[in-house]
Amino acid sequence: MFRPGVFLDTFQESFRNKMFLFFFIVASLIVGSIGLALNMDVVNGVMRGVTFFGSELRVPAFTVKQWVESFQAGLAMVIGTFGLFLALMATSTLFPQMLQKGSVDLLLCRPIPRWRLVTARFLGGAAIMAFNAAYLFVGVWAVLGLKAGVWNQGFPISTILAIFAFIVLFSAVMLVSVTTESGPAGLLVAATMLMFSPLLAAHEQITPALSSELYRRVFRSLYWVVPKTAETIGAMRRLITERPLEINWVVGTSLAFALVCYIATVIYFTRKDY
Amino acid sequence: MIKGMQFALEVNGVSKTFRRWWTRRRQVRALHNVNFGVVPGSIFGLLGPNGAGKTTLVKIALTIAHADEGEIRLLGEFIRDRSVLKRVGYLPENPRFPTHLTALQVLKLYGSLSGADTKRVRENAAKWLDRLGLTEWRHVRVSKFSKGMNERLALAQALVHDPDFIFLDEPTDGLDPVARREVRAICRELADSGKTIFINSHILAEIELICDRIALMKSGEIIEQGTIAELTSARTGYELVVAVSDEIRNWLEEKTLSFTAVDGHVHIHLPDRASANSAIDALRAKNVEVESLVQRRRTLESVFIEKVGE
Repeated sequence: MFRPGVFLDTFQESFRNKMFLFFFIVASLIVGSIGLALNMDVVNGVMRGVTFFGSELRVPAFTVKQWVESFQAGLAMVIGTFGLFLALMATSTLFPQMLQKGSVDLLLCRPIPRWRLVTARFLGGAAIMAFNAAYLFVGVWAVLGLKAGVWNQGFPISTILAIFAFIVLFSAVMLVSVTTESGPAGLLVAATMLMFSPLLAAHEQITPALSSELYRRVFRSLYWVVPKTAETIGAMRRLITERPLEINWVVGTSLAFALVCYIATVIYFTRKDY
Repeated sequence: MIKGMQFALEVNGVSKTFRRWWTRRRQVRALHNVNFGVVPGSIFGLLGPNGAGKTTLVKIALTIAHADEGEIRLLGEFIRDRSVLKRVGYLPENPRFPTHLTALQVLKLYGSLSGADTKRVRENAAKWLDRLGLTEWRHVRVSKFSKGMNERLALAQALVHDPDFIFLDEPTDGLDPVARREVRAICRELADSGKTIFINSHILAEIELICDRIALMKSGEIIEQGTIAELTSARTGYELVVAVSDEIRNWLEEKTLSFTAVDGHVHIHLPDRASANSAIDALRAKNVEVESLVQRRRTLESVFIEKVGE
């Protein structure tokens, strides 16, 4: 029988500890700022000027569509890096809190398989961030659509890639924080992956410059093993700017990484004595 | 109670050694070949010093930890089949609830996780919150609770899904004497209604007051088990009390009898009935009045110290 207790409790916990509220307010501020403080001067479908909170922004001679796409792509980049880090930071405590002595006992003594407990917690954390990401992307898309009359389908769809990038790194947070029972350790690992992913994404340029074959092999192996967050964020930009998308191998290898993390977490959590 | 079930909890040859995952070298032997059974509808106490393995055993029975060897049957079913845990309640030592929840939400969460239907959980939550004096606090977040209130709520969550077998790990820890008495009364009522209670404790007085049977555990092994009467049945002689006087003192010293002087009386310790009768005859011959004569029994504390200290 499906019991949503742990999943719903994760949501409830995020409401009470203001994590959900924080992201909701930040997303609302971004949407509200764009709606109220962004003014576009459009003449015959061409941008003549843009002001944001009264300050004039330099705009090349873009069409409105090009400008909206550029704006959305830029926003997606910020959300995909800074927002992703904030989301990982906020959710990194979910597992260590569940595993605290006296708390984990109360969960493990129930007639629920352990894999379901850890999965419910994971899905709870992912759902909180997915909701907030969807709210932000759809909100920005709707506001820009209403103001500029440009309804770029790629922007709301790119939410899926943002959520995917979060889920992949969150799986690493889950594995590390379950095995070490430390939230900061999980966050550190995921943040390192996030930080080094642009370097690994540039492996074709960097690898030839490495001094030995061993280093080149290690670097190439790392590229294939570590989730391709930079490329996923890059794919968001391509999707928004309607450029061709070739992300099967990016999604495939990142998904494989997330699955390995998930399976390893479940195996560890199932066998561990608490 | 399952018809024909001999034991509500059956522990057969359970052993457990904690090891670091990166080495096969033995670290700590927590349990070694533990065997015992708990009769349905009884209150069973597991006594032992800190680190004896009591909590490890309970955790293995609840699948929170895993045994290296041996088997445990709960309510007639092997614990491998976790569905039996629907009928089991657990009050852990130092329970920690999600601090964002209220008392009522805590009971609803854990009741539903135990598989009980919402209506039953709601009814039982109201019943146990009332019984444990927490009704007024039901909508207050547990982060505001005192240690005693937290402990009472922990007992309520162990009972909210109406389990047939209840594990209580140090159930009276942090409670005042009135609340302790209430917990004892609840345990007795539950046992009388056919439920089985398993208490882990090192508070001997509590165990002595409520348990039907006990087992003593030391260094991961059961070293003694039986009813309180069986464990304390061994006589340790007689105690004769008479009024103190110099003549009596001199006589006792002359006879090399063991005694203690308390509040104007001497308590003479006599090893057996024959020596008690001889002492009475001798004292009566001296016109000394006997205040009292009692047969000395071992206390649970003396049994515990004797067995655990061996």
